[in-house]
Amino acid sequence: MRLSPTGEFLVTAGEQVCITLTAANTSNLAAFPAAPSCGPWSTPPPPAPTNPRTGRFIANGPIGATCVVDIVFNFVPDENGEYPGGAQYEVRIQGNPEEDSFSETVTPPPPVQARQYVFRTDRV
Amino acid sequence: MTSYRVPNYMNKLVFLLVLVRPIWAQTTPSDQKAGQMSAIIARVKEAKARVAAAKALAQTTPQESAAKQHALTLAQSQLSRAISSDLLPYLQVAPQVPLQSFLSQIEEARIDKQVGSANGSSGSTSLVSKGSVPALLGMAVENGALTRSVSGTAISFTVRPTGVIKALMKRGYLRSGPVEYVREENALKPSPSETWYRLLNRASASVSFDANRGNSPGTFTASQQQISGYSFRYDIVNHRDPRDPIYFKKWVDLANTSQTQFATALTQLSAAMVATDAYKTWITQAELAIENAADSDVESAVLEQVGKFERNVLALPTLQSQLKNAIDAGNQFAKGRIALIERATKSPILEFEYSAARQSMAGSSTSTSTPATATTAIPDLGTFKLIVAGHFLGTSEITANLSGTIFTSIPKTLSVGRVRDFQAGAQTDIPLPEISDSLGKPTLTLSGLFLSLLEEPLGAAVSVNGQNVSRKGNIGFAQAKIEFKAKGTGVKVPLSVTYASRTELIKEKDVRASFGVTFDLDNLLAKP
Repeated sequence: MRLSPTGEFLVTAGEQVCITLTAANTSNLAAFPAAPSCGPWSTPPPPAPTNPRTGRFIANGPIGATCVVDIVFNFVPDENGEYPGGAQYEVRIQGNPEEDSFSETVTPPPPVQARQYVFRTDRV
Repeated sequence: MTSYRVPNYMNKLVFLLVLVRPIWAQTTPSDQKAGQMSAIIARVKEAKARVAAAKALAQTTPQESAAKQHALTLAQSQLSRAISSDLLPYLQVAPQVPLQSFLSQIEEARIDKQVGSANGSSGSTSLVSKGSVPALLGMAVENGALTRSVSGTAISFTVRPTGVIKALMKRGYLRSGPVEYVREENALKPSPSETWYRLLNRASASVSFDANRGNSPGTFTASQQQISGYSFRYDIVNHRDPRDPIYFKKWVDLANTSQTQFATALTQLSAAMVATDAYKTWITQAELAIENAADSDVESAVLEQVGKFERNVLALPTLQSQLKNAIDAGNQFAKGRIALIERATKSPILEFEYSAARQSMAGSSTSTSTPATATTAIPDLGTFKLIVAGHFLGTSEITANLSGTIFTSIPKTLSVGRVRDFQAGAQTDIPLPEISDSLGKPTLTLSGLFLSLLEEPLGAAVSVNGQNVSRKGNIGFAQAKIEFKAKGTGVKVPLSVTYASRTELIKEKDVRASFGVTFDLDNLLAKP
C-alpha cells in the first residue's frame, strides 16, 4: 500500500488492508461501517467498546477500482460540555506488503467527526 | 390587575429592532461557515506548512531528490486529506442538506455554572443557587484540582478533595475528574471508582478572601484576616456527568447501532461521490488552489472550495439517494447522542450546602445593609441550604432551594434571635424554539421566592430581585422573564413581568399595583 498525493491509498489487487482503531483516555466509541464499499470485511472489527479494534478487508477489483471506508468518531463530554484532555483515537492503516505506513489521530473538538479512507487499486 | 401603556413599549420595540438588526448582521453566514469549518481549516494550515517544508528540501543528489519527492507526496496527501477526509462539516454547512447539529445543549453553551460566593454573599445575582460545582474549571487551575474566581476584591477558591489527592498522585484531567477510564475485558471503561473515592468526590469546599481586609487593604495576602467566608457542599445525588458509568451501556449501544448505520451510510455516499468526475475535478482544483493560496488567505480559499463542493458535487442528481440515506442516519445518530447527554445533564440532583460569612472581621463592605463600624458590631452568618434540581419541560430543568440563615456569633451589644431568615425559591430556564437564524433561541425564565425575614439582616444584605430588604416580615416574589439572544454577538435583551408583595422590590420602570414590566435596552447598548 502506498499513499498518493491526492490522499488515496494505492493498493495491489487482492491486497489485504488492515485498519486498527485505538482509543486513549476515552472509551472506544467510534463506529466502523457494516462493510467497506467494495464488499464484506474479511475480518470484521469487533463491536464497541473493544479497544483496540481491527478490521480487515481484501481490496478486490480491477485497476482503477476504489474501496471506501468511513469511520465516525464520538467523544463524550463531561457535565460542563468539555472534552477530557488526552482523549483521542488513533487510526493505523497497513497494507500487505506495507510500503507506506499511515497513522493519524482524531481529537476533539468537534466531538463528532468522520474520516474517509479511499483505497484505489493501481496494480495487479 | 394592571394595564400597560402599550405605545410606550412599541416605541422602544421599534428602536430596539432598528438597533438590533445591524448588530445581528455582524454574524454573517460566512462567519458561521468559517466556525463550522474551523477544524478543517486548522488541519489544512498545518498540512500546508508541511507541503512548504517539503518543497524547501534540498535535492542536489539523487538520494535527496528521492527523499524530497517522497516527503512531498506524503505532505500533499496530508493536505488533500485535510481538505476532504471529514465530510461532516461540508454536509452541515450546505444549505440544501438538513443534517442537524451533533452538539448537545451543554456543548453549545455552558449555563450550569456558579463558581465563587454562595447566594447571599456579594457578587451573586442568581435568585436560587444552581447545582453542580465545576470540578476543574475556573479562572486559574492549580494542579488540575483547584478553581479560582475573582470578583472585584473578592477571590474564591473551590476544591474537590479527591481532585487534590488525584492531582498530587498523577497528572492529567481524567485522573483528577469524577470519571477515570480503566482497562477491563479488552475495553477502556469508565471506572466506578472505589467507594471512599466516590463518596469523597461528591464533596467540594470553597473559601473566599476579601483583599480589602487585613493589614494591607487592596493586597491579596491570603491571611486569616482576609477570609470573608467559606462553604461546604455535598452532592447527595449527582449523575450529571455523561461519562458516568451508569450511562456507559447506552453509549456502547449507540455506537453499535445508529452510529454504525451512519458510518455505513456515509461510506456508501463517499464511495458514490469519489467515483464521479465532478468530485475528482473538485478535489484536484481545491488542493491546487489552497496550496497556492497565501497563508493569510487559507480560510477564504477553503470557504470558496466549500461553495464549489456544494454546487458541483453535493448537487449531483446521482448522489441524492445516498445523500438522503446519510442525512437520515446522521440525524438519527445525532438525536440519540443529544438525548443521552440531555438525560445525563438533566438528571435529578440533590445537594446540601453550608456557607459561612465572616462579617465580624470586615472593616468595611459595600454590600452590607448595616455598615460595620467601630461602634456597630455585627454577627457572623451561617446558611444551610438544600438544593434540588431536575428535568422540567422539554429540555429545561428546574432548580429549587430551601435555606435557613442563622447568626453564628451574636455580639453582646446586640439583642437579636438566633435565626435570621428562611427562604424557599425555585427557578426554571426554558429554551424556546428558534425564531430565526440570527435571533436564535430565546429563553423563558420563571422564578419564585418566599422569604421570611425574622430579624434585620445585620451585615450581608438580603436581596430580592437586586433590591436589599431590611424590614422584617414575609415576602412573596415571582418573575417571568424572556431573554432574546443575538447569535454570535453576546447581546441579550430581556423582557420581564414581576410580582412582589412589596412594590419597592420591583425594579421595572412601569409598575402597577404589585406588578412591573420592563424591556431592558441596557444590555443592547452596552455592546459594541
